[in-house]
Amino acid sequence: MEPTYNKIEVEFELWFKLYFVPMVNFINSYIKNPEESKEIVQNTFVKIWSNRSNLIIESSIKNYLFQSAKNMMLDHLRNNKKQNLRLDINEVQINQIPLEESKNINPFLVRYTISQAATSLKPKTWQIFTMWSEEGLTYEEIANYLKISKRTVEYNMSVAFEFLRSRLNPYEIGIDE
Amino acid sequence: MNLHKLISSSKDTSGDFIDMDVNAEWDKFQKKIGYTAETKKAKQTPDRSIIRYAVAASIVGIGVLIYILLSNNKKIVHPEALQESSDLVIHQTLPDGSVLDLSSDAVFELSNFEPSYLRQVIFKDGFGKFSVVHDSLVPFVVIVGALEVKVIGTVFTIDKSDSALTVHTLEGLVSVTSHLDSSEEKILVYAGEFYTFHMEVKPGLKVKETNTGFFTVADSIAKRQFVTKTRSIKKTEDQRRTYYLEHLIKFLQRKHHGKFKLARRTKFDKKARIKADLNADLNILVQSICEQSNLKARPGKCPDCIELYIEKKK
Repeated sequence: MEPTYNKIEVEFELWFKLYFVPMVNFINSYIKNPEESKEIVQNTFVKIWSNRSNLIIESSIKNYLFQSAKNMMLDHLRNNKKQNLRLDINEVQINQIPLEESKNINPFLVRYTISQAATSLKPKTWQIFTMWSEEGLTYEEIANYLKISKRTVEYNMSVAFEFLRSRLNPYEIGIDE
Repeated sequence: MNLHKLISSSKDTSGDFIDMDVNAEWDKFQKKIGYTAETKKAKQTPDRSIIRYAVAASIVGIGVLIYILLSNNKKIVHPEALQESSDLVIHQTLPDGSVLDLSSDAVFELSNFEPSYLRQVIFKDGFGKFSVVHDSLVPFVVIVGALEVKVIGTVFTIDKSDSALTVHTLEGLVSVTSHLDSSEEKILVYAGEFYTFHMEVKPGLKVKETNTGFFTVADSIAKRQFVTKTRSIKKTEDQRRTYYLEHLIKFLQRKHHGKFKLARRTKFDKKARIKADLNADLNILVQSICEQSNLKARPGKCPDCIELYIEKKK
């Protein structure tokens, strides 16, 4: 499917805002340098923008963006190698990493969505959610600790899950009900 | 995949997560692409506000272009132009006090209009301005094909042709619900905005009026949804609409007074959404409620009377 020029212009901001942070974290998981990771992802978007009139996306936009960022990272590493700046990262190893959605992309999208929940959910809901997700407490344990009923915990968790589900919707991950 | 598993696996595989201000990064990105584009054209060094102005102007330009291209087959009349003109030849006051101003080609039906429990107008074609009297218990609903325009108290216009429907809110707030698929997405049209729904395979566009003219805000997600919806336009011929359980029960209590009762101390989910056809028989309506909520039906104490109740857990 070849998107038209106008469609890309309209959707570009949406793509950027949805995928920028997860892509930076994805790159950073390999090169362990947040500033360089940001620069790589910025350059990836600039490259896509400059080629937007010839853009052909065969798979999903999600795969396309992450694959482009991965390629940009490899170029970046090769350039650095020439300048003898960084030799500690094995380029071949990175190149062989398959770009499977479930293992390599989705975790970053989910973590970004959770980070958004911190500012969007009510403090109480967020506290209950983090107790469950970070500390691994059960609903009953949370209820005992906070001295509230189990039903209140369940309600707050359902609000948090509904929020995450709605925010994960554009990523087309395919979550079971 | 299950959301629980997804959350727990994301912690293990994604390591330490760096969060950042995505809007600041978007500004940085715009500066990057704006810088290269502008320096070729401008002789002097452009400052940030000029770049922003150029980007905004180009977006408005693209919007107007899309708007013109999409509306080339249909003459979209700006509702403001018709608002006070002589084109509105039919002036009708409805039983609840709401006022309808209609164009000469307007086709509408008021067969189901009963101010106490159902204020419904079936609008088939043409242009109409609705000045609706406020009643929080009985919403004013305009059915236009598979779309439902619901208001509480406001002034708005509807322009319906074969290929498009435009709802323009002059005062208050109007919600437009599409019944073309199960998602029943609700679109809110605020005062000053107008919403165009294209019946053909064209995207739904929300058009905002500005001081400099009007431009189209094309929401990419909405676009995809509306393309899907328009494809299924002919499949759905379901006469049922969605109501809050609370409103549906109030409606039944009024319309079938003496034949329908709610058991005492029945605590039900007031905001549960029930699909039902209000013109159907009492038995069918009760059956719909029982199927879609936790309420159950039983014969009441009076003859031929139905009572809804909640079964107590043993």
